[in-house]
Amino acid sequence: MGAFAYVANNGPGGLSNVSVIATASNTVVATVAVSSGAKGVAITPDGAFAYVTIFPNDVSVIATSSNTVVATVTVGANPIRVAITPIPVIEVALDIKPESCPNPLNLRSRGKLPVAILGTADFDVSEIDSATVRLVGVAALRSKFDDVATPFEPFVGREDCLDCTAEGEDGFLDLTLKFDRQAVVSAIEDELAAAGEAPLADGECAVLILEGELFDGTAIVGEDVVRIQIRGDDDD
Amino acid sequence: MNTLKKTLTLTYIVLLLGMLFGSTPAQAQTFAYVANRNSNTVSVIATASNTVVATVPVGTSPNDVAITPDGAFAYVANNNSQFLSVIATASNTVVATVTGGISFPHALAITPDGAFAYVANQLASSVSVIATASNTLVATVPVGTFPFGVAFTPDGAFAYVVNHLSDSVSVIATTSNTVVATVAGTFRPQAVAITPDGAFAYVTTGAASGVVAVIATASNTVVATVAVGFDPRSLAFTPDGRLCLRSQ
Repeated sequence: MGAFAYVANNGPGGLSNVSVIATASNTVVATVAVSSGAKGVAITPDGAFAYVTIFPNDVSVIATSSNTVVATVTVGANPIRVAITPIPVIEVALDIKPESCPNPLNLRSRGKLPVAILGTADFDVSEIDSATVRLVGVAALRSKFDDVATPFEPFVGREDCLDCTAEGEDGFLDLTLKFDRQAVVSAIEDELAAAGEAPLADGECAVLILEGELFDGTAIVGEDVVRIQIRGDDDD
Repeated sequence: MNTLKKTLTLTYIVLLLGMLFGSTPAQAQTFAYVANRNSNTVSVIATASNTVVATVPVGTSPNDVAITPDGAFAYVANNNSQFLSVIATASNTVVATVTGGISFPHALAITPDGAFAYVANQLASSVSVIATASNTLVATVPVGTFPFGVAFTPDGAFAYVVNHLSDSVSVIATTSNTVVATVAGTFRPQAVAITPDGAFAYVTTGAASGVVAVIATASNTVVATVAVGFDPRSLAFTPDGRLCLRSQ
């Protein structure tokens, strides 16, 4: 895991290509041949495609999953640099285990993990397409609307185990979600293993990221901090 | 106004038809803006269809494009002009030109909060700081010779500027707009990009023997080099995709 750098190598002649560097190891993991004179590169916000300008008048589209050129678009003469519009992202208030602070996560517990995306004066949770919501990449088992908690600020950039609040309802409707706890635990373990990091120890804190979309396609992102517990198999 | 009304009505009908026929939720569209140096235009590619949906005339020798974080404007550095062109992405027309302090701009970048554009002036060896709200010059920062690329740390605190003929990288603190560090040891740098976590600046360097130099942003020293292809010009990162981070 981690980011990859796509480097446009201009050439000369038939030596133009794109180097793909894994930033975790700083090694070139792929080289994608292009026709000539690669000068600029930009990557789509979802990370799926790299757009590379090619002399004399093309843009080659590389799928980052396969590192192959999947499309070529004719543009103007001598294209140099390129930029791609961002997808609008709204930061939302996430509360893992509403009305609890800190938020213990027992890695051995089974059952459901309650999570809420909190509505505010500026954010109506009924705009969220709950089918798109993922916590550490895991979809929710079910969701409903209820006023359960008050947001802690900042919404993102939380670091400490106590960056949370136990305050309950605040007059704004929240989207409450239930996740399979063991599915979330597995996703956390896979994520750390893929990054080459040690497993979480008892008492450690971890920031979990939630992603999703509104019905209009706007992306949402939220995060909350959990304190890891490793004991027994009782509910935490 | 009438045109706007018609457009809105049409949009509403399209949305309504979409709902009636059970289409999936609207996907956020993205567009690639390409600086065509020898055509004096910017091509706009819809990434969903990979077709050119607009070609926008700009200044002379457009070399770089930067887009505001809200996606509303594309700023174009016209390398052989004394101005930037500002394209409104909604209409794909040039809605403003920026002249304050701009001199043969080679590259530019916009702060993560969208408030400022940092423009590398090739012949003036300076960076012009432009307030995007007013499109006026608010500061000029002297850097090395032939600044060719600009990138920001994700928190917006620092701008990294590569100086092509000085073989160096200038680090500008954006709060004071002063150079707080100069990183040596980058031969003929072309461009710079910063990792999504902000820990490293990657710089394309060299010509025949292309190398990417990796600068640790904490120490502002080159901590690794990666051999790549011939004459590396630009680079970009995929999002790091982390969904779980260990906190201290």
